[in-house]
Amino acid sequence: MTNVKNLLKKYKEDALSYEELVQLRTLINGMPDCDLESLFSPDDDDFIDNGICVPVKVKHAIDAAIARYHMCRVRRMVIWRIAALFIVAAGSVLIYGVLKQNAEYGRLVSNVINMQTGHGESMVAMLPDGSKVRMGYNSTLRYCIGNFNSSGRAVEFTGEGAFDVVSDASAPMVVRNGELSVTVLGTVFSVEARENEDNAVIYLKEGMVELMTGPNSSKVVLRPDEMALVDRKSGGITVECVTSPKESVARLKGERMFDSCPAGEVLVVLSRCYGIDISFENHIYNRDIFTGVIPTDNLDAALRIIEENYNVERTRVGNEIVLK
Amino acid sequence: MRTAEEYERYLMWEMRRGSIKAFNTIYELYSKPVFHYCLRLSKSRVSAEELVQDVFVNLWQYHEKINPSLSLSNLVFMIARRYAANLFRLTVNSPVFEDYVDYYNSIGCEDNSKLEYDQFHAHIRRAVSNLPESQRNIVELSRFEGLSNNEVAARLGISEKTVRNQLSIALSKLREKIRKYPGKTNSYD
Repeated sequence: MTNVKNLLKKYKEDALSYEELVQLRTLINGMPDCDLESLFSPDDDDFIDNGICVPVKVKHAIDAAIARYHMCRVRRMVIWRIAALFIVAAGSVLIYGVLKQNAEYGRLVSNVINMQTGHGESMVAMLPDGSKVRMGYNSTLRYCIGNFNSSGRAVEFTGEGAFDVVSDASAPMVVRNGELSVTVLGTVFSVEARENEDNAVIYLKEGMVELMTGPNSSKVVLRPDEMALVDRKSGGITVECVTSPKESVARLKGERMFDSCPAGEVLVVLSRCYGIDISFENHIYNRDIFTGVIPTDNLDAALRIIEENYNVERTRVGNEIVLK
Repeated sequence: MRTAEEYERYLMWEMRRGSIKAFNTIYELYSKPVFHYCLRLSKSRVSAEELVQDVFVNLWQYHEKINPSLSLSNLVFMIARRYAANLFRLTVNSPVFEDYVDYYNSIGCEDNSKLEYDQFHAHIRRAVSNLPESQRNIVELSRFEGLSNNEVAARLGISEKTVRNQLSIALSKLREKIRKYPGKTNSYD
């Protein structure tokens, strides 16, 4: 180290020999920067006024460099601000998109699905949870997709329908018809509740349902093969045991079973079902007793059964069918 | 002395807070010592000027991060040292400096007309620009860029022997010139 200091002193005084220069080179080139730096402490001479002065252009160059440095910083800040703005804008667009999507979803969920059958028609409606409703003639099924969720399922129903409800104990299905409501967990049952009829009929084939005729009425529980007659005006419920379940089973299949029924009444039922007046030309047949199954969704098949039974033929007169 | 120290501490705090006025005062106080210090180490005015510039620009760039418990002089020379060490290495390793050592040894230390390294360097530059082009290229690559004869030959696409010959002719011409016009009076600024 003393050697280096010595050489350094000679270097400053321009007193190095060529050999010493070679020596100095070898020494400093093998020395890490920090060691070399430690050799260069400022001298007292550096601080006295020795007549030399730093050219003004140096200060100007420094000022210019600092100004440039600041410009860069300002520019960087501006860029950051623009970037921030962009992020905010992109975020708003994203949020707007999500909200819009949600609104669309909400509209979809709150959309009311309406299914309807006309005279002599039948259809099988599939509900969002996989439950099936076999709808008889002149029936309406109404629900919102949003009403099908983990805590419940709700539909409104008018007419005749056979429900086959997918079992889900945590989300009971409620079938409403005016004030009447049928709560089910997972069953097969039928509902017949029409606006123009006094009684609604609920027949349970499997499982268990609860009936309520209003928000404050007591619950009535139906067991399999029981039929409830609900007086739509008074809200009274009569529960009957179905002696021949065949009739109700027929209804579940979209058929009507008549057991020793006057033929005139059969025609009245069919007229209502198909929305067209059907009558015998010869009124004698009205008193005949009819037993059999007649489809409620196929007018041609239904009429053929009557024709074959009574040996008559259909004639269409306006909006009326007369059997001669 | 104490008040001067306090003043310097105050200047450092002010600069840390972003006062360009404090920075300018610091420049007033320290640009000369730093310049002198660099001149001593690099023996070149141009390098010393550049170094002063680098030191103070660097000081400003890190003004927010400076440690105000250091003394201002320590801080400034801490930065200066880093640049100066680098510059010192460059000068000592430069072939022109080697020539300069040769030069002042040949004329003897007591000669009053001896050129400073800086002046010597300027002379060489001037003299080199008057050389024929082929020699000039070789000298520039060899002396100013510090390439070996081998590298110069490869760069110019000539044989190493040619480089050696041309270089020795050129250098002897330069030596002659410098000995002929040593004149201490012809300072170059």
